[in-house]
Amino acid sequence: MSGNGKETPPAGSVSGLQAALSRTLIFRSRKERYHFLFAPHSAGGLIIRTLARSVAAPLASTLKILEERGEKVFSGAMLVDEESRCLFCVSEAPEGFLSELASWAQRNVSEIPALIALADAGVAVSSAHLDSNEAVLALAPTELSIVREPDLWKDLLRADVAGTAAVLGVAWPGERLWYWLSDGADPPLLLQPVAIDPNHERMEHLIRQARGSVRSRGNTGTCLIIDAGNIQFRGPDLELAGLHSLAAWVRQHVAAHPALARLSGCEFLATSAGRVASVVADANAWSGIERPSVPGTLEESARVFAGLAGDAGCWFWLTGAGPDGPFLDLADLQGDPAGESFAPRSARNYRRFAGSFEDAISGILRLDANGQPVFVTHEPHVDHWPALMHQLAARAHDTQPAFAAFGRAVLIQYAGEQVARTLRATDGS
Amino acid sequence: MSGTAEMNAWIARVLGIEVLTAAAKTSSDAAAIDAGALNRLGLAAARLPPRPDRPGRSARTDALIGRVASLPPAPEPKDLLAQFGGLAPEFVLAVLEEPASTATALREGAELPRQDWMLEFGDRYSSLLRDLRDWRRLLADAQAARDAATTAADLGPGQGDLIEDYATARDSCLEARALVMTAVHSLATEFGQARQAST
Repeated sequence: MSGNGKETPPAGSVSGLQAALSRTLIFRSRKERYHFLFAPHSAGGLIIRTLARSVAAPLASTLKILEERGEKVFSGAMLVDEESRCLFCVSEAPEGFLSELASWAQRNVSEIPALIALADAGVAVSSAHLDSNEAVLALAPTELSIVREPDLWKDLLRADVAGTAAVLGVAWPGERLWYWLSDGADPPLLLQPVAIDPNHERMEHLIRQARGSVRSRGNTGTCLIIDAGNIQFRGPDLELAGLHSLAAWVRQHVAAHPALARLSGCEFLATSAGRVASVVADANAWSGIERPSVPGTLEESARVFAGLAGDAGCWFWLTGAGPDGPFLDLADLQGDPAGESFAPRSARNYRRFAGSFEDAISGILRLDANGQPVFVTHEPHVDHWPALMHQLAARAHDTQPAFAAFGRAVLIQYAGEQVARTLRATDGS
Repeated sequence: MSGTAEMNAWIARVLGIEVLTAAAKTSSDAAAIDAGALNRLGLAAARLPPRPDRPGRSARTDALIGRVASLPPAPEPKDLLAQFGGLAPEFVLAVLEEPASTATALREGAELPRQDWMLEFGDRYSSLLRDLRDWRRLLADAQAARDAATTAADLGPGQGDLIEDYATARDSCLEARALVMTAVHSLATEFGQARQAST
């Protein structure tokens, strides 16, 4: 794992193949030519390689293995047309190719978001010898008879209220989301995480659906959940009327899609020349729509801590580099005993709080028999922990009453399987 | 907290991890402990990623901003679009590998974090391409309507609807063109400001 917590999957594994496919699709270019291999029922699914990298041989050996196994497999060349659509060229009549490709993409698009690039793909039969790089380079899209079936792709990514709510429901503070807001459209708000849609392709697919026949340009930009838990929209054309329309739409759908309540209390930041020109907010517009606490905020940590009882414990991640002093992230332990969710969350926290690489402490928090908090960590540098506890306990006076208990907390530092040291919050007073 | 034994028992009970003590290591079970197992012992907390030794990287973002600063001003709208297109792969790499993750609330007058400003350009470029596609489609519609109206005029009177269709299509097309031109000029102005701010 690298310093920012990103892991590179092994090249030959399914996740490695998926990562390579995502990258190829995201960076596909009209100037490149590609070889492809598509086995709809194999774990690898679709493999696309640029000509320079494929040299045909690795794909040919994979093709041979799949054919020997009796798997259905298509292979040939791929081009990219002027509208960035993929065009697959095959040597023989591609019986069922597009429908197989569309249903495979549909099954895998949540795992491989970049598969949206396949939407409206075309297929063409070519008499050229497609194993040869020279023949593939000589292919001219204008001379090919291309078949497309747009209807096959209409369910690949749906623009609807549920989709918007799903993105909102799992967004974490600091994560950038593209947005598109348009009063007359259905739905009037579309969202996609920048991290899975860096070239805005998924958004464009959604916008085409939501606009329908209405030629609304809409307002676009990025938004994110801020440290306090509410959302800030940032863009050049944001106005109060849009915020009121958004609130009215949320009110209409929040019962069926509770994650929409995360929009309650959102702010519109009109930007110009790299600065915030004005901030628009209206608490009254959201009356009666209570925003739930958002994982990764102090509000949520206070809620998790207040709910601790008996044997229950929670993961913790603590830094003094928060926006207003220390920041403590607490998360469920029993549902995530291996830390599979909390480990990437910690990695995100290191990026979110720039100075945290110098002081963060992580581990498990539980209560002792007297209900006092006990922090357990493997972190070797913990001298600053008592001071952080004091600052957190001081927050009890203003916003987080549950944090008063941290003034009496204990930290147990392990080295390997041995207790190396015990610290008390009172040591820092 | 009564001590290590109680904590170890709790870890075993709650997390299902057997915590071996130093005493166990010297017992007949010692042979069962290998170097890899040590990482799993003692604390479930050891499962979390270690603290990195440096802040998150920003080399790609820095390089992209440096490249923006070195670009000459685009003399024509089409050159601006080509400039943006040329920057796109580096932009995508920067966004994927060094994602902006700060969650600090911004207030009036605040400067956008550098990558957020980049994202704003990325978003506006996408909007512009969308506007261009709309314009191209409307242009094709208007040309088709004109051809239909011309043919109808050749055929004789009573073709008012076709003339009206053409007028509507032409208006929509001109409107789309105006929108594109306004967006291009606004983008060019702001991109010039960004370039200046980067130097």
